[in-house]
Amino acid sequence: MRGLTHYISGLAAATFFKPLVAAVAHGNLAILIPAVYAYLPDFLDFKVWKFFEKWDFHVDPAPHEPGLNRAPRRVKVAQLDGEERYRFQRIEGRVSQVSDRPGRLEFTLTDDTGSIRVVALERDRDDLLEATGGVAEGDTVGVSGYLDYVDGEPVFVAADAPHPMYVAERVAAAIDYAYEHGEARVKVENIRLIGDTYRRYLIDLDGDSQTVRVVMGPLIALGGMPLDERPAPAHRLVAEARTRHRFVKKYPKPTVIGGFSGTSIGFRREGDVVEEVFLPWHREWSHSFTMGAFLAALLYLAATALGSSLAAPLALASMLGYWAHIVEDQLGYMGSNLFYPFTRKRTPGLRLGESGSPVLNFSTALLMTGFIFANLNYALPRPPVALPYPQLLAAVSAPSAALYGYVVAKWLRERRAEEEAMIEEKAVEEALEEENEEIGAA
Amino acid sequence: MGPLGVVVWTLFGVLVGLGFSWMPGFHVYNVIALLAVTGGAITFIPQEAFPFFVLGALVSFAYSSVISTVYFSVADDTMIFMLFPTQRYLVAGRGHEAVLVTLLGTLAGSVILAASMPVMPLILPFLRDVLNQFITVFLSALVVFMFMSEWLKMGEREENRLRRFLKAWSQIAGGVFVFLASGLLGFVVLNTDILPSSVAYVRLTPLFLGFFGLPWVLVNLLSGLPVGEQDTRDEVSTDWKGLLSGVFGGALGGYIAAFFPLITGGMGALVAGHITSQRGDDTFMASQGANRFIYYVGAFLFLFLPAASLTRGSAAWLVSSIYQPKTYQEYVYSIGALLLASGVSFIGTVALSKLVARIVGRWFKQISLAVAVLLVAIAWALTGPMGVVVMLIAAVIGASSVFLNTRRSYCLGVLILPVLVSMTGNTGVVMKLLGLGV
Amino acid sequence: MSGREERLRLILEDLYTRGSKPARRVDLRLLALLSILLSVSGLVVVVTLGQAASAPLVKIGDVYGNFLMNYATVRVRGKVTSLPYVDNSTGRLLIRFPISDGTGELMLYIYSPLSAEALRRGLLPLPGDIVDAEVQLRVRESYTYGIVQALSAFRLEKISGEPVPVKTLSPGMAETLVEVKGSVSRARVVGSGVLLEVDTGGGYVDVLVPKYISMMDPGLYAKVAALQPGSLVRVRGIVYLYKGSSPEVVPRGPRDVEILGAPKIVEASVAELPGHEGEQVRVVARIAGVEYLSDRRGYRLVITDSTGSGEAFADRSVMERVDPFAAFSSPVLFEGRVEGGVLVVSSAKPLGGWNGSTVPISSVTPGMKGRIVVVKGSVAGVKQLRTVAIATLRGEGGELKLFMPGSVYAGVKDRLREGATVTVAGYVDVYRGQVEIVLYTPLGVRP
Repeated sequence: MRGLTHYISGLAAATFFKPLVAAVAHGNLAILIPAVYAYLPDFLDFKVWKFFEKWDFHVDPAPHEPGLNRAPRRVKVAQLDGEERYRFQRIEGRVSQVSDRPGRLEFTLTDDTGSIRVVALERDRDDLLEATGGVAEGDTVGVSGYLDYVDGEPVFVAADAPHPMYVAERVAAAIDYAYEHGEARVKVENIRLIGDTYRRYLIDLDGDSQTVRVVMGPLIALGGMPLDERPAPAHRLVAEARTRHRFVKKYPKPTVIGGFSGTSIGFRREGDVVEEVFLPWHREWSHSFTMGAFLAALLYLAATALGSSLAAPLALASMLGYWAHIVEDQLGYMGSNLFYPFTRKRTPGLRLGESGSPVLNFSTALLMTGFIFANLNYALPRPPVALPYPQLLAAVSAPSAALYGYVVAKWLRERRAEEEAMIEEKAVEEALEEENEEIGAA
Repeated sequence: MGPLGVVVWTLFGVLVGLGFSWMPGFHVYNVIALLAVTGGAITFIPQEAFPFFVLGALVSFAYSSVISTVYFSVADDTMIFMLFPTQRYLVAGRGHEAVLVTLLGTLAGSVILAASMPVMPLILPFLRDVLNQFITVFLSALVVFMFMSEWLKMGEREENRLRRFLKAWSQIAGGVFVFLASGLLGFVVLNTDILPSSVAYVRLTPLFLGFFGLPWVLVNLLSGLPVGEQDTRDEVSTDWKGLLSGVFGGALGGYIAAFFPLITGGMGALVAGHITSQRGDDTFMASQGANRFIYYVGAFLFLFLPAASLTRGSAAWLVSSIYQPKTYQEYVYSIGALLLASGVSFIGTVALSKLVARIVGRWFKQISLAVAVLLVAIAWALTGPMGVVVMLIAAVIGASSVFLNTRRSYCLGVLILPVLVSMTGNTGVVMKLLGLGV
Repeated sequence: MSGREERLRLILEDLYTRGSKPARRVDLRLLALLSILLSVSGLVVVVTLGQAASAPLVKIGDVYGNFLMNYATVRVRGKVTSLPYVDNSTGRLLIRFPISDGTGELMLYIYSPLSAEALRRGLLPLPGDIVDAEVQLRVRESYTYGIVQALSAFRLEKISGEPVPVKTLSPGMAETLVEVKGSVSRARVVGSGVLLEVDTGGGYVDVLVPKYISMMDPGLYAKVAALQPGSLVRVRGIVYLYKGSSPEVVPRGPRDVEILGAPKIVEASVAELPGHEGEQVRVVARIAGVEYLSDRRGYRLVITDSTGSGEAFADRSVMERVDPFAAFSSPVLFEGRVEGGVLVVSSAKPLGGWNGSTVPISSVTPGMKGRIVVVKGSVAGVKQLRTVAIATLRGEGGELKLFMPGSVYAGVKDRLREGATVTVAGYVDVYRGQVEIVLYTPLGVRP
């Protein structure tokens, strides 16, 4: 569910507790704490835990220039060593030994640390010449591209993107690492250029052939709108890297790295194969009933220590708010690790709808808003709406009940057709949706 | 006043709104404030016509302000981390299309608002009687959520985990700083006499110009990115489902913002966007259009509701202090005036968009500079030299929100924080803490 | 070139450059630091200036109706001109009172949670007090009001001094602090609180115990509302002119109201009544005669016991509770105060029930005027006029008119349908030579 839907659920839970509502009249806003608790599972994941994830592999194919927040980073020729192969960077220096023929431009570029042969092929050649107005002996130029080796000799290939092999090799290595060590966490970064534009690329894991395939995509704006539909030249369009060990990909679609931020992938050995775990740090421990109870207990102790007379209702309401978040998320696909630390894996959800489902979100938010309205109405000495409480509660729940009915009917219709793969696919999409929401993509 | 008078004054308001609202950093409330302070409001405009004049101006503002959002918000990505959809369309040469998509949302918002007005007198009293007692809760809840839901975009690439965390959280810290700083500034201005109380009504104007207007033009002036040629054909490529979804969410957000005091259109849009789970650039733009219309115009129209009148927003407060609409006839006139003003504003804005699209590339910075000067002049005219000082301090705080990569809307703390302090009965405590008052 | 092409060109020109072109760098960290420093400096300046610019003292006449001063925080000073209105019906306490400074009158509001604190601190202004407060003005088309911003900026100069003991009040005493001591002759709940009529021995003084006292001390307020005539009280308060002319004493808080003692009730016989002038008495007697006094809105009763007969007066509300069936058969316990030799009844309870006996209709004669009788018959018809109703009862030996006020008829309508057989009890009256029975209470009709 979307964050605010959870938040409203917590507020609704709080309004069932009369002391919390009554305290508002005295300027006491403790009633907000259950709402905060209801948002807490996602807050803990996306605002705290995510940043403490230990990456076994940090794959940054296009590092940023410091101070500019975008690629390419400027490096010296001497810094172009083996580890930097295929990585998108920029060098600057004096031109010599120019050789230009259709489809291939070569020259030597020298800076104060050394020299390297620069090669621009096909449309990269055309782009380079158009942007610089021509390259001649003695000119000082800046060239973006990546280091490669031809016959053992280093060559700087002019390009507007890294070579996809940079990503493919490292993801494959991560899979092998996971097999050998049990688990591996990989953070894959995006490729950000000037003007808030991005080079999209996708990572395809082919378990059948034990191949990691990376394909460079088009230049896009942040929302995905393509700016340059030209495909990358053939020599740097696709890269494949084989793994030594077997792996299984449950999610059939490739992972797409576009705008906003990169993504985190986990690989875990299960028996004799390595399985992919999407957003491994999400709902690992935060989305559990046990954590909710624990945090509520802490709140109770803190409130009691502060001498608050609201400690008990506050703690109970906060726990219920926290649990409401977990229950709402269980309606989706991804599921959660419900009883951490007693359970290890996520319990799959009920698959009623994706977490970003507009109907599910709206109906839940509507229901909770209705509860808030009914409870606040009866908190007043003379309730403006004179219906008996159960009737009012039923009346405000009716629209949501109808919408839920629609969702359930749809679910009953579709679940027969859903295969395992689709379920997994939707779980991953759901995870991406949540991450996109947190990073402002949605 | 008869129907002809309503038509004339509404159209006059539309003209005034269209004339000013396309300028970056400028708000129609500034114009209304100027009219009030100079006496124009009561000298030239008949009392009972004033609400319709303001209605026309608000409607045209809701339509034509999209022009400044699209054409005069080209932000440098080295200075801000992310461009908004309208900005992305502009850099792709589709600025006019962005305007059209937004206007479709605005138009839909107009129809929805007009259709809902007959129902409002039935629903609003219950909502008001129940929820009015708990405004503090809703306002505080929204502020807390804004902080909690901020996208932490910094530090993502840091290897060191603690540095990653601290860099990311520096953004929230920045947000807290902006909120508190703007709140403190607002508190002092509203509770002391540093700006003369004789023009108290317009005291917030230099603050808002400082927080939102000046930084906007400042970023424009500093921006190194050129604006390319724009396609001014009247064509949009979108799908109706996405538009409808956007309109629904935007309308919902607009109603929330219109009903609750101090909750702005942006905050209402945040709420609606979440609970309707919107996605997509054109959905976003259409929702902004509907949201803005219902927020500004809807809030004002509550004033006309017979026996269920609510005063929401600066415009409503000013109008109600001069003339409070009272009759069912005025209520019916207001719906007609809304529709008339919407139609004229739509046509006017489309034409304006084409004109601005042609000149923005060449005169972008000059227009921004001229507007910056105009904003300072307005602040001086309304509140004197001290108003300009306050405005500049507000501008620095507003600019810091840009440099700290945090939400500009935290500057709304200028009003939210003093009001929350007052609603919780703590004005005296804060006054004492700051050494203010007797 | 289209915008998209322009954008692409820009990207490529960033990737491939001619000459040494340092990228346009904006040091965001420096800008952020600078902006924070400037912001903090600016705020220090503003706060310092604000410390020297407190809200100005204004004349109400200068700001009233001035829409440009909407939301202005100003200081006002004036005299409270009316009792404060205190309301808790919405769950959020509101206090409202008007002040006048000679140039105009302004209503001030104190909202929750400040209002609860104000009540707790005894900052409730009464007429005559001087209020000096910082308020935020709200200007509407036809009225202007002020909202008190902070209790730290709310000063209340109460009418001070020692309260002057008084036995009577006059309009000239308005806005003075007085003390009243005496016995309660009457207590009734009115819209704004409990209105007591206190017999000071030298006269009668009206004391209004306002409803807001119930929010300060619910127990005391309940006791005051239940005060019986004869109870001794002492009240200190301000003299306020109700409707501008009628003086009454209004206490400021619960501590200004003292209940000194419960009424002393003397057991007496009817003959002894004149000897207990001004005292609370209890007497057991029968009702020998009833007569309605329209000018006093009550009933003159002739009461008798073994020692003789005497006179009593009972309010309509008191008589309404006296079951005529029981009063027909049994003696009644009267409690009240003797005033001018007449027992002013505060409560009357028949000591027994009805013995079931009735009198034939034909035996009800003009000579029985004022006596309580019980008759049985069938309802031959009912005629409802504007404020009264007249029914015809047909029974043993004839027909009889039943007369009742509209309020009584409303309570017996269901029972008094045409054709119904009923037993009625009331007192005999003669109207235009015709005998009728007056039903003075709905208790007087049984099916």
